[in-house]
Amino acid sequence: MSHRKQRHFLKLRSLYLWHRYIGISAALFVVVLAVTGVFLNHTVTLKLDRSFISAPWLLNWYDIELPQRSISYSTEKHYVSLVEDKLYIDEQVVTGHFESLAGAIELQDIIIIAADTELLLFTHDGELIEKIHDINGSRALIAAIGKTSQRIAVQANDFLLTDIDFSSWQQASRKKILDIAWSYPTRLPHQLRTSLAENYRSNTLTLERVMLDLHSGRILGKTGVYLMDAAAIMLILLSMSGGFIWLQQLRKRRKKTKPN
Amino acid sequence: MRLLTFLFICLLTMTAQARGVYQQPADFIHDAFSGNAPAAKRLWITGDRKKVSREILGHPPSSLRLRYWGKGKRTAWILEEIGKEKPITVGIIINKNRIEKVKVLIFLESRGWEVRHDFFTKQFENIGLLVSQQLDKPIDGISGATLSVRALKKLVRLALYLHSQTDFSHVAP
Repeated sequence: MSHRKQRHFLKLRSLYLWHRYIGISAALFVVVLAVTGVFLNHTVTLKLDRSFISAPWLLNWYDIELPQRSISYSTEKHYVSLVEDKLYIDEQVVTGHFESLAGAIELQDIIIIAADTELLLFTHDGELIEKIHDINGSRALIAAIGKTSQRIAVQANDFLLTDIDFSSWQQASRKKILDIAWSYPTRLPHQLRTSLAENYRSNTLTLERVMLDLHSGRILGKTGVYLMDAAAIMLILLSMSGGFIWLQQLRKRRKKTKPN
Repeated sequence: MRLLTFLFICLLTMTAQARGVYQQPADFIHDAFSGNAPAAKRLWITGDRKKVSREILGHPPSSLRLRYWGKGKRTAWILEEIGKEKPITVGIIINKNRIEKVKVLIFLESRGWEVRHDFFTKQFENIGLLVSQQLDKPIDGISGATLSVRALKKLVRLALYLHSQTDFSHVAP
């Protein structure tokens, strides 16, 4: 083998080695990127945004702590609670995110919850009957809810009274206001309080969030992001070194097949 | 670089402005009946209605009872459906079993707000429902707003179906 040929062989061999090492190093990241990428492409179908992580170690990893903010009201048969932004009837979570809970009452076998600007009507089984958005024709933050002789009392911009059909609203007179049995915050039984706190923790982190963080590397903080950047650079180098080796071999093969 | 920053700020402002309350539902109902809205009626979504609503929405209906307003052959509905994460509130007017008007009233999602524009909602005008509970005319989508478009189509189908369940769909001419 001539000196030139030997040098060329060594150069190619060294490129091969680099290509191999980069390939092996990038392999793990490629698998993570590919698998999480496929999952993320089908987030809606796989309901990743509605699947929640309950593994304590992962919740701890994300620093998801027990809720700080909670308020509860009791009706004749139920407890209604707002834990951070989640609303519960006893232990059952109500779909949606809520900012405030002003109270809850029961009337004619219907649970009426005043949350944010809405009145939510539920059956005893926790099935939503209806959402009443407009209080006397407008949307206003509800400050309190109560009842007086088969009528519902709501304090929004004003003290208002309505019936269970919510067809019309009347302003409550001063005398009527005194008769209203308002819904006041209450303390939950210990067992229910613990159960809600745990339920909140395990209904916060979605699988979609974890997949996104795995995909971007953010699950390991800033280091993870830099690792994924390094993986991306390695993939670029891999494609370049692969292309270069292929070109070299193509040239070699052509040289061999060229008639003298 | 300055131009890029300016464009970026413009884009952010546009997105921020795009989300929100475009019209209060009560005002939509007020306008739908030229200021003389009838008293709200209620339709229970139970039994077969629940089954068909579930088929249309692809999930169980969120409530057991819906309010609507009706006069003559017209009904007006305020319906909600989640696009991706947050609800889109839509006002729908149906006249003689066909869509008269569709308007996005409240949009809280971060993407897909283009569905509020007239160029999109006008496509629903005079559209009806086939026996298969599908719309009788195709609706052109908007790229980047697939989930919002899907939510609106579902709500229009649901409104047309629910209208057929009311007395206002059988009023004599």
